[in-house]
Amino acid sequence: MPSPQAIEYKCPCCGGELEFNTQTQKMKCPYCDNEFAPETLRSYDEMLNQQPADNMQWNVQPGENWNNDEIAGMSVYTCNSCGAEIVSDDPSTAATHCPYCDSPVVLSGMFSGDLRPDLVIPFKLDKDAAVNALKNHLKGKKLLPKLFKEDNHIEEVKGIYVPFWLFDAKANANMTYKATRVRTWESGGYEHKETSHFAVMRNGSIEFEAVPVDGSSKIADDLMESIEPYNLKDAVNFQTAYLSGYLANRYDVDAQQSEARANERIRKGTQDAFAKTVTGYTTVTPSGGSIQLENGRAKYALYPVWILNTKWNGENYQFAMNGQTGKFVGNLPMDKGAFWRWFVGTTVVAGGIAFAVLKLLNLI
Amino acid sequence: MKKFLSLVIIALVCITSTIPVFADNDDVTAIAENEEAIAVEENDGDDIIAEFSLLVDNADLLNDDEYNKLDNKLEEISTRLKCDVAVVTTKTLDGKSAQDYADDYFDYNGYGQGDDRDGVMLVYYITDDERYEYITTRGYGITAITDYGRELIFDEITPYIKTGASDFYKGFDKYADLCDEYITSAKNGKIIDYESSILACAGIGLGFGLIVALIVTAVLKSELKTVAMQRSATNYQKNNSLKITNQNDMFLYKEVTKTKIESSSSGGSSTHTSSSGATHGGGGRSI
Repeated sequence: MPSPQAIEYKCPCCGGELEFNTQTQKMKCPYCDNEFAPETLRSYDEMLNQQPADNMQWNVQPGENWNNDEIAGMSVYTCNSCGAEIVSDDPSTAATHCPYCDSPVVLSGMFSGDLRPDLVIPFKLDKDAAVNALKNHLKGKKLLPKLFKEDNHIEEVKGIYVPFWLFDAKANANMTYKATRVRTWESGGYEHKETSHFAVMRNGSIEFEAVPVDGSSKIADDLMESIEPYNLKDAVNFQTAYLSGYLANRYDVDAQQSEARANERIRKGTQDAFAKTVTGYTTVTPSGGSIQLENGRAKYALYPVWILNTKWNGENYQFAMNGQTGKFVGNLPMDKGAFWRWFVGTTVVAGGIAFAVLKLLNLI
Repeated sequence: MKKFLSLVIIALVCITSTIPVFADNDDVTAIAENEEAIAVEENDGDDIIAEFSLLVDNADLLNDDEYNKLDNKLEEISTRLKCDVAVVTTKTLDGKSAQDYADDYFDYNGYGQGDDRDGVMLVYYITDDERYEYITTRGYGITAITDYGRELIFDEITPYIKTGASDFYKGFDKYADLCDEYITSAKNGKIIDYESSILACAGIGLGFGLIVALIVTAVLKSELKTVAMQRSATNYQKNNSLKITNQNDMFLYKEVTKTKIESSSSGGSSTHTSSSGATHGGGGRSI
């Protein structure tokens, strides 16, 4: 058992080396003049060193193999322009244009090989709902060019099942935070401010279910994350029947590659959840922590998305709607003229009011 | 024998006739008080200026000619404006502070017209080693001569009367003119006081306007952007799955800082209470 060597303690405030002050019997930092009781330092040291390393490994065996009967009628269409591969079981409903870039697609063969999805959330909202949602999305946006609303170039509205990897796990975490409590008071013509610094530690566990990561590189990740959340309560075991009338996108990002994104979101989620338990302070900042995953599993799922494309002023605008919840997103162009009109107008009005108040009340 | 007796009687009569004269001392004081009382009474609501002078030159800085001209000017101004404008020069402050000396001189010598004792008095203290100027105000004088106005007056008269200069007549004359100008202006509705410069107000107004405009346009612009990566997996947290098994809140250290509180005022006159209980405005400086 290693005996305590001459352990050097670093100052929690500025990082300098602490020295023992015989007069006060405390450890004193020669750089920032703060003093600490030795027990405090020992506990703080333990708190920091106690954290085991991160272990965010996944045991990923998603999906099963297809039954040959199921995929008998499914064909794969490839887009010449962006490389997207669309699967459809009905040539008559299949699109002739790529839902992502609007170029023509070519029938490239029968569908085979891939994994079979574990889950699917069927479409709950139809095409009309999607078009209405677009109209609402355009309402009330003051800097949207007027013409954009009028020229409704909705080329094609397509319902697609987008592939997602869903990650479940229990996260065991050991998080540390730095917190402060500030007190101010006035006395003797001075304002006094006392800041107390704390080292906070929280150990515990938290579970996450179905954290989605976009499995298609053809459809923008941020667009897909923006229409979240999806609710698993409507998820059902996959049947090919659900595909009819809609398109499906093949996955081209596999589960391994998606792990990194899942880890990042789970880590942030854990940090936030644990931070919520640190209460009673003026400020709380995360200062570190480690997470170990337990029972990590991934599933392969298809989620419903309505995609709309429109062209305006030579640019492509893509909108997406969550086929289950109806959440509608899509970035819009800005009318530069309107922007400057608002800017100048607000400056004049706000500036005028400020000028009048200052002058009349002789404030400066 | 008869001659000696008559001498004694005459002496006795002479002696006894002096006694009533001594008794008159009280009467003399009484009369003096009455005069002062009369002087004060005449101040209340009458146009008659008090017996004392608006120009008191104890330090002997003015020649007869200058004294008369200035005295007449001060009397004319004070009568016209119904507010005493006075000048007092002195070689001693009687051990008091300049403020107390000036206030007391004003109060106990009966300066000031009307119920409120409206008046402005310049006290100029001069010795071989130092010089000090002080203006005290009372009643309407506080309103008409603000802190800002007083500083303006000082700025104009100080070059004539500061250490190294000796144009006392010019300095006091300027003081009289400025008091005339400021009190007249106040009576016409415009009090000489600090006003924010238009340029400064416009500058800050513009800055404020720009900041508000930046905020407003940023908000409107953000309405257009709805696509972004999610921050975390919070939406997928299983309900009630958060379990904290161990926690520790450890106090490390504390630091205390203190900053002086600045007090600011804008415009008007600051006032204090003098030893006689009256409210005076005023201020001064060493020159």
